[in-house]
Amino acid sequence: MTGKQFFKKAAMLLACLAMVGFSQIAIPGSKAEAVNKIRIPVLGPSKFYPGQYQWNAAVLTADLINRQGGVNVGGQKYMLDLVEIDTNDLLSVSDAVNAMERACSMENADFIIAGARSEATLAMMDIAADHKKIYLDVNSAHPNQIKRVKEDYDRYKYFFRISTIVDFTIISYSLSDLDFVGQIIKKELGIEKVKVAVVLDKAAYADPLAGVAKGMLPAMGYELVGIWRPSYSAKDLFAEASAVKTSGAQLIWGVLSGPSGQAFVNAWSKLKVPAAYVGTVTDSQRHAFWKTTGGAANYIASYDSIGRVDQSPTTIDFYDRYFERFGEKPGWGSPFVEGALLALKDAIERAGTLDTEKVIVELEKTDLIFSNGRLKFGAKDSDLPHQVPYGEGYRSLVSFQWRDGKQLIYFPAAAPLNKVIYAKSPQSHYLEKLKFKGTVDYQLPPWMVDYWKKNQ
Amino acid sequence: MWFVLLIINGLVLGSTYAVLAVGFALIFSVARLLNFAHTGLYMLSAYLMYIFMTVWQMPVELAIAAAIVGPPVLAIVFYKLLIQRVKEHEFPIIILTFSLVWLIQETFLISFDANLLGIEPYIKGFTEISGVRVSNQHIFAFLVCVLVLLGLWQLLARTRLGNAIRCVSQDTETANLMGINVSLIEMITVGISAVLAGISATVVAPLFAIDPHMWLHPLIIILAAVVLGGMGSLIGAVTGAFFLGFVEVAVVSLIPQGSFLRGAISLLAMGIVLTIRPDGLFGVVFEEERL
Repeated sequence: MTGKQFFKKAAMLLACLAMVGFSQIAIPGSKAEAVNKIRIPVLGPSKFYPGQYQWNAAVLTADLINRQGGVNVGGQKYMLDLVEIDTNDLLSVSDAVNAMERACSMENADFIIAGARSEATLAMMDIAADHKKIYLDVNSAHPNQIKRVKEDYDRYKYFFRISTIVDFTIISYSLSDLDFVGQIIKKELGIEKVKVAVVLDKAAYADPLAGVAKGMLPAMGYELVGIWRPSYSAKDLFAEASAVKTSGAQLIWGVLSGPSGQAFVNAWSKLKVPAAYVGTVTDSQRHAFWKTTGGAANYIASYDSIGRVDQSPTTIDFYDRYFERFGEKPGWGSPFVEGALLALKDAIERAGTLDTEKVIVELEKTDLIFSNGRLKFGAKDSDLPHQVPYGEGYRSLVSFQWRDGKQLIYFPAAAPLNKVIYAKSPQSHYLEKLKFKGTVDYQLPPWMVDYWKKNQ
Repeated sequence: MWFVLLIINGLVLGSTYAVLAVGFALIFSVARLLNFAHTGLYMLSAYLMYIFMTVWQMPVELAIAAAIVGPPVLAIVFYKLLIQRVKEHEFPIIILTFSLVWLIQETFLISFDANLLGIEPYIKGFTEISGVRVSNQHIFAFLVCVLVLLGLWQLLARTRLGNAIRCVSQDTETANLMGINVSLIEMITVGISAVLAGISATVVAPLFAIDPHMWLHPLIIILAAVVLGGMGSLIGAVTGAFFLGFVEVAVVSLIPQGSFLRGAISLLAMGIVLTIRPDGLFGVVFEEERL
């Protein structure tokens, strides 16, 4: 054998050895990859903080589950494998629909967690139903999604919702919150009939609330001076804030989940509208909101899904772990995503399989504690099938007020319930007994107190 | 009091639209450019204000200077490199200017996400006028608008540069024949227009939330203002802007439950005016020649 022939054969041998070696590197499906995975796309508006809250909570919870050994599926260990997909639903419903299609088809999802606007969720439900994928919703709130499950169970049984539903339990929470502040206004300012202005996003989830405002507020003893419906994405609400001030309102019931929230807070603060704001500004749930508004958020009140109080035995732990990892408090959708992953793990382990139909049966039996409270889906033959309810024995929202850069929980405050609310929603009486440790007193904005003391 | 609310808030909102609209109308009347990047430059200014004031904690004067200087630099470079080569073709200009605004949008989307940002107002407090509260920043914006429009009128009416700009806007070919450097005038006009966009942003950015999509709504409004006022008429653009501002405020004040329709109704009102006067309120007829 000549030298040239030797080197040629050596090179071929080395090449063969290299090929065998490379083939052992983790290629999906190859023997080198021994880890079983449960693929879960997490859909949300990634470029916006609601999507960021959802994704962060998913990563936090999945990492914890995986570190603790993953999910036991019929004796085999499976790790959670998350994929982030941007729905862009705050700007485009069709983008959200495409995102769901991608999750179901291209990403080969085993289960799907998605948090999008109600408008987008209705369309996304159909995609998930077509593909027979379990879809755990962590953001929408419109009753129509649950109505679909009730009316066409066989098609929509894949849909489960951990986020809120705009039904009377939530509405009565918000009205109780408003009444709590209304009573403070009456007592401190001596105003017998408090005037209320209502400011609601023009969005599907808020549509029922306009009718509620017209029906309930006068019955509760308030004078309704106007209902404003700014666009969900409005950036300038000075005209609206000015009009609210001109209306003579002392109290604003606001439900603003979009960019309109920051716009209204900005205007309310700069014009020093002499009315207390109660309800929600979803943007204001972020710690960064204080800096973003340059302190305009001072005295704004909003409800939130989670605060650093003992909503459940695991709330404070989840809150602290989230804060430690991401430098920001958990947001609206964060506990719902945590709940979704815990519920999935629990249901899959009881089912002993990833088979969708069997997991659905087990999900319907879920009963566990998570950072928001008790997670138990409504039975398929109940009024709210596949919806985790609010109320006694389940979970509660919390309301905070921004004060000097801090979010202070002031409600529930174990305060008496308005008789009209109680008559309409007796199950809300849990609010009369509920007060979390660390709850503080609510404070009226000082400029409001000054104004009404001079101008009554 | 509602009437006072309408007048005051209408003037305030109209003035913020007017400064933007006049810059757009100016560049159209002189260079025949439909500059869809105009509100993109406005957005650029707003972000420059944010970066200088909030991120770098620089004095407000420096932030304002950067916000006014930045857009004309970008606009002139873009005009020289790209627009000037294709300015005799309308559709490429539209596409190119849209591309520029998209580029600006995506740059900020990557840098800052889509979350809303804010700038603290540098004119704090509010003033009460006949029971209606107006923020001092808004009053400042209105005064700046008036000064800018007066300044622009003085420039166009009483200076050689203004004379040249008016000549080019009236008849480009004859202006060229008379020895006016049309290219230079067009470029200067691009710069002035961008400065106006920058000034508009410096006075209103502290009032609105800043996000990468903030260019779209004002673009629709200023297009409507310019069409309503009459393409090519500066007075028309200002009048159109105030008209739309008043209509929006009227909707919010008189139909609060329909306040989300303020933009749509103002555009509908524009449509009604155009059916009566198709050339707009102060319509200007252009010759078709281009250089």
